[in-house]
Amino acid sequence: MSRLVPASATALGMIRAGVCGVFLLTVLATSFQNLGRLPVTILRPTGIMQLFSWGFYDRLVTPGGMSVLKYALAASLALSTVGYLTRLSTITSALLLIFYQGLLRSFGHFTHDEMAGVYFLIVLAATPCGDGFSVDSLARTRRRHAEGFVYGYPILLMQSLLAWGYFSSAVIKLRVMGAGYFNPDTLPTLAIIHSLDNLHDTHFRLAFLLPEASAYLPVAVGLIVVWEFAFPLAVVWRRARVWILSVGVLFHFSTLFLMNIFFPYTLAMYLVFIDWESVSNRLARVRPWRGLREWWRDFRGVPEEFDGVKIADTSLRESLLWDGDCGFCGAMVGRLQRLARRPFQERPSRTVEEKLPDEVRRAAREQMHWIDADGAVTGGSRALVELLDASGRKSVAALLDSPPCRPFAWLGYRLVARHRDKAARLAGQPRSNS
Amino acid sequence: MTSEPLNASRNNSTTRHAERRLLRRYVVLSVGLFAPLVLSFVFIRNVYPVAVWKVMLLDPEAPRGRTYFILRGETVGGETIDIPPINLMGGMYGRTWWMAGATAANSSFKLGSLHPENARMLAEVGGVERLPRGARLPELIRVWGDIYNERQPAGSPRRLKAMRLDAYRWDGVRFDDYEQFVESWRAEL
Repeated sequence: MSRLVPASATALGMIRAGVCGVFLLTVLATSFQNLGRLPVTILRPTGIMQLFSWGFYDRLVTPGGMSVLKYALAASLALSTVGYLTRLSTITSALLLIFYQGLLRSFGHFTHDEMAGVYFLIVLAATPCGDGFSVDSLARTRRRHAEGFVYGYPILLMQSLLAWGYFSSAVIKLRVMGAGYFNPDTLPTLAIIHSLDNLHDTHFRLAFLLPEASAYLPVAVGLIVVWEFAFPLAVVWRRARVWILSVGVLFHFSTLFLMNIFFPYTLAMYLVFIDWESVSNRLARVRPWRGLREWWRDFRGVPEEFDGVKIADTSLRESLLWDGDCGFCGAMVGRLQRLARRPFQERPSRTVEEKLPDEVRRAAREQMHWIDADGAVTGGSRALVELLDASGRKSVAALLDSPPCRPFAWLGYRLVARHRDKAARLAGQPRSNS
Repeated sequence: MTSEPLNASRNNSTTRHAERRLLRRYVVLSVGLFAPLVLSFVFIRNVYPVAVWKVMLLDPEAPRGRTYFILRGETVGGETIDIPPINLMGGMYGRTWWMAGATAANSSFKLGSLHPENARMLAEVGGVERLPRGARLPELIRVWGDIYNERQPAGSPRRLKAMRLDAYRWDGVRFDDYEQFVESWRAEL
């Protein structure tokens, strides 16, 4: 799998951010209010859009109704882009986008440009694309699945869907028009049809030069069809990928200038062929990015979970270990004691250092730790949740541990723990006990 | 301190189970996406959201030639100016030309389930064949005209008093005579 596609949670997460980000930007840049002024009486609901009643469309296709759709779409796509509540937000993004694109096609016609992106959103909604490069994954120190098929297959599937579009397009050209597709007049006729009006998005006039070059056009058209047939090679043969995608860029820009037809979404969806993790690793060698990445690695590097670690000494169980040299930490422990419904043991970690495993001892200066009744150890925001739970504040613990709060609990804890000096000043507490 | 092989093996088993469930989901997802696409390809028919990529094609059985449209505004200053609708309604990118063509052909009056307003209009005129071409075009043109005027300063000679959609025909055979005027729709603003 990894020979064909990058098969990591981060790679899939980066693609999720890219696909959702493209749609988010275009939704934000579109005036839905103006779309809401179109007369509903010219609407021709297509496919599944026929499931909705005329009464529904009457209420929706108004400036107010379309604004609600825009806010819902933008909010959902923004959440999917950053990977927050990803399981839910990717599903709502896919559903809302299918609806919105269907509505546009019910006014206009079945353009294919956004369809690959719509299918990608369906794929993302059904896969664990929030396991990496997401807000959701911030608080997670472990991957949910081993890297490989679980993360690689969705990328392969998206690439195959895009390849299907090109390949089937070539077959259909030959099925519908046969050898007539290579007639010298076909391309000029198609190009001129799309260059006569002022209702297309661009108004290039190069199409009118094509009849003069008609002797060469069958060859050009033939090469395009061969390229479309060859597109699946971009999925299975990495070396061919650069060439096939480069021709794709050239082809789509040619159709823009010659035919006033452009497929920007399809071009943007080529992003599924790029190994973004590798791009990010290369960028990390460049100075400003290197510093940023090192800072992030350091910030994120303190573990909150210690798999398989158990403290054998039963006297330490159900106790909180904290940085005894930190006055601010002591004050916070005092507050937690007052908040607790059941009192808990607490002690400076320095006093029990020799009883702690290496990985816990190393993190002891960076965060507090909670040792539960079984001897299992958690640190930082995870320790806070376990402590609140054990001390009778179950609802607060459940809230902090819920999917919407978990990333922010982690981020909040890390920020405060890292900047204890500033936090102490803000809270009017001493930084040090000495 | 001890490590827990039993827990580790339990975790591994849970992970394997989750991955098997994902594998099944991937099979369903792949079949669910590709089966309709292949069917749509076999029948060469778009049924939204299932697409068949019939792009850059000329229908060999359709008569040659094409009717096309130019959107124009008549300003209060007395000028007639071309107004590309993409500048007025970016959301319809890539589709405006088709929307105008379908509205001119009264396509929204030929549906299985008509909008109540369209059904009422049809009942009044006595059938779709008696309907004037582009029965709903003036409403569409007026929307474009209103949006255009809202962007002009009050009192500007560039403001429109009317919006017009002019239809022309190209026979699709000769690569020289492209502008045979057909008809025009006009909406006072």
